[in-house]
Amino acid sequence: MEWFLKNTDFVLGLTLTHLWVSLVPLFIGSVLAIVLAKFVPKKLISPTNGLLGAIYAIPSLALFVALPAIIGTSYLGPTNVLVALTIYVLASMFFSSRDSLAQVPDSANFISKAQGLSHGQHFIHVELPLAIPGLIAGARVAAASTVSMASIGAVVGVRNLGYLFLDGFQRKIPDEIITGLVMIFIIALALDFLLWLIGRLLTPWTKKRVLNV
Amino acid sequence: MIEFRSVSKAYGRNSAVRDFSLVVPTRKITVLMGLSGSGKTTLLQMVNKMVEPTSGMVLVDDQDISSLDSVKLRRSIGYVMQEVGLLPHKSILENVELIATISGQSKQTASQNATEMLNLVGIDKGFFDRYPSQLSGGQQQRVGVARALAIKPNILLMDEPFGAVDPIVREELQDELMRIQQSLGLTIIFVTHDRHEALRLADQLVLLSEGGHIEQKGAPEEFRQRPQNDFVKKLLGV
Repeated sequence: MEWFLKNTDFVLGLTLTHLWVSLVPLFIGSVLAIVLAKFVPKKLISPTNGLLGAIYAIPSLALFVALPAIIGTSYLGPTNVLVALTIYVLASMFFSSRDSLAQVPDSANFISKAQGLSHGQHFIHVELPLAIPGLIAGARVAAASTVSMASIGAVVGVRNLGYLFLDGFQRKIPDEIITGLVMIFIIALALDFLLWLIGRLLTPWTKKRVLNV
Repeated sequence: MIEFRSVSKAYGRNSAVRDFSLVVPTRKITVLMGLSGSGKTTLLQMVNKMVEPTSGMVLVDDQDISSLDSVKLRRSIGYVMQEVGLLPHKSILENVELIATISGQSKQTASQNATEMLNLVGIDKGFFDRYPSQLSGGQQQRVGVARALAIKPNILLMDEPFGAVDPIVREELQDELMRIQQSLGLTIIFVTHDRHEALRLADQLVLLSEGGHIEQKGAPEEFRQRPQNDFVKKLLGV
């Protein structure tokens, strides 16, 4: 606690970096996951899922280090980390997004086509809103893992809360490590709560299932 | 007027409908009755291009619909089916307004119109903000009818719409349908396998056997007085 109080500004700065390094991949990755889930044809679903699963299995540090060689970015700096985390979010959310988009009851699917909704309108007005509970559930899992994985970015030069682990470990300051842990925990909880709240606000119909005569 | 001109529909090797022709008169209720496999739903869905015939053509007001834009055509024809298919995430009012707002009507016009149709089918204002899961089956189907009418169609396609509601409510709904059909001057194609319903609603009754083969057609009285064969007698219990 004493260590934290002495270094408040420093820790808050790291926290902010940690937040945006997590939020940007979360946002882009989930949008990509939804787009892919929507447009990958049925035949290619299994291979896509296999590929993404394999990518997800690559340790994050290895991916951070390998990416510059593949996409030509600099070894240090946030770009690799952002790209790698985006790929992880995409990989973890793809399958659940696919499932979520299939939540429309057959009858509603049929009637919305029979009454003249175009494909785009069907997606916006029917598929997407009904997918929200599943998408939010997937995003909550992705958020927790992204916030935790982002800390490894400190090894390749992104100064976020992960830096507290490296520095605290090298200089043997347990308080510094604990501070990092607590802050990451707080961020993860806050994001989780935020996503829960968004899901709740966007799906008023799920609360009103009172009777079904 | 809707006209089927020797339409056939095959799914691979199986033919659902073979060489079917029929004229559906304007502002009347035409009932297609048959057992499963008679192709009645397939025929119904040819009218709004949910099913494209393998050969032959369907004409609406003397126009071959195969040349018409599907989305546009469907927005001019009401569709009601047994499973109703209300959108679970939209309120009753929003469900009924949806197509109108999507086609670019103002929110106010759409809402006025939807309110009018919901009143017409006997849904009380108190239900407008509820979600479909909060309504009974009979109420849901009333909303389904209101939704189909909200686009002000001349044609209404109904696929066993009252099959899932209990007998008393079913009769109520049938009565109301006849009243609404009269007051709006709708042309209705109504698919059912229920003979009481068929005899009760039909101006023109078309009795189908397998593959959309017409066993007999005409006014219900003709069926009662002169059933043409044993199949007809058996199916109608006359």
